[in-house]
Amino acid sequence: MTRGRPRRVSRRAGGPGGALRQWEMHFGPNMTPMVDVVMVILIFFMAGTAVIAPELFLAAGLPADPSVQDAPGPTQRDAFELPAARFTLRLSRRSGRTVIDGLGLRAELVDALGARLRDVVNDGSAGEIAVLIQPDSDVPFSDVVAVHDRVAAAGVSRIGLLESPPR
Amino acid sequence: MRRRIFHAPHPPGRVNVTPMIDVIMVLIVFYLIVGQMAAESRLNMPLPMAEAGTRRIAPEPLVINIIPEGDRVRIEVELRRIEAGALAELIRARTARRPDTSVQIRAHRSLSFGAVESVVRACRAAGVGVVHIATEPGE
Repeated sequence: MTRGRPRRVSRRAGGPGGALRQWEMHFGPNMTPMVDVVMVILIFFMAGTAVIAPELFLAAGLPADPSVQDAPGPTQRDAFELPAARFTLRLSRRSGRTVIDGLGLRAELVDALGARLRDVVNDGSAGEIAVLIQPDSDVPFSDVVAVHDRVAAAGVSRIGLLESPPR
Repeated sequence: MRRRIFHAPHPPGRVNVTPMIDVIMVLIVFYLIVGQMAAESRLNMPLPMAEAGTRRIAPEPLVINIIPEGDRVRIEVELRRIEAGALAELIRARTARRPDTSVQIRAHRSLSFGAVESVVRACRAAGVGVVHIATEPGE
């Protein structure tokens, strides 16, 4: 009773909505600065993961090498199987430019590939053929990817990558 | 008076921020871990450009980075440098443990095919059927 008395007195002194009532509302730690900081950290990490550019992948099949056929080790489930209809595109470097041989092209630039591919696969055969890319060692990798890209854009899904031919 | 304190520890009109802070903390930890995982295998380097690439979230990726270093190249798997000769063995060990391993090749844009060839050869020797070549969108 004696403990309760000052409280009752002070409440009366402060009255509803007075300074003391406000003090009563804010007991405990003040969370506002912490929430501010935590929000900033959250936005930082969200933006940080968004900045990492999306990466796109081109699938390149590796036709089984006859020399390692008997080697021990697992064969992956999605092993690249070659259909009967397959074309090999040989990429080589001639006077500072990458040229393509194969699929009816003779030493043509990469830009000529798109039109030729449209002729070859426009009859709906894109799903049935395989295109193998066989670049020379000195061909820039970006050109290999550009050729791969064009073949994939033409609708061919089975694209293989071969190592450069022995000289 | 005393009873009211016990029944209403949070008087009406006062926002309870504890659940919100819990949720935000979980989100922060989530983004921390995702960022860490993303940075682990992805070295920041320009990749060859392609338009026809597809997004791919592999359950078990094995990322092989090929980085130019002077006139030679450095091959890195999970931030560790590895020699081309030892690569086939590593891939074979990994695919034996997890047959659904997806081999991803991240090669710098400026490299020639000769630098990538050794990795391709190692993959083929390890019995990998399909490799995934990392590209950047754009032409």
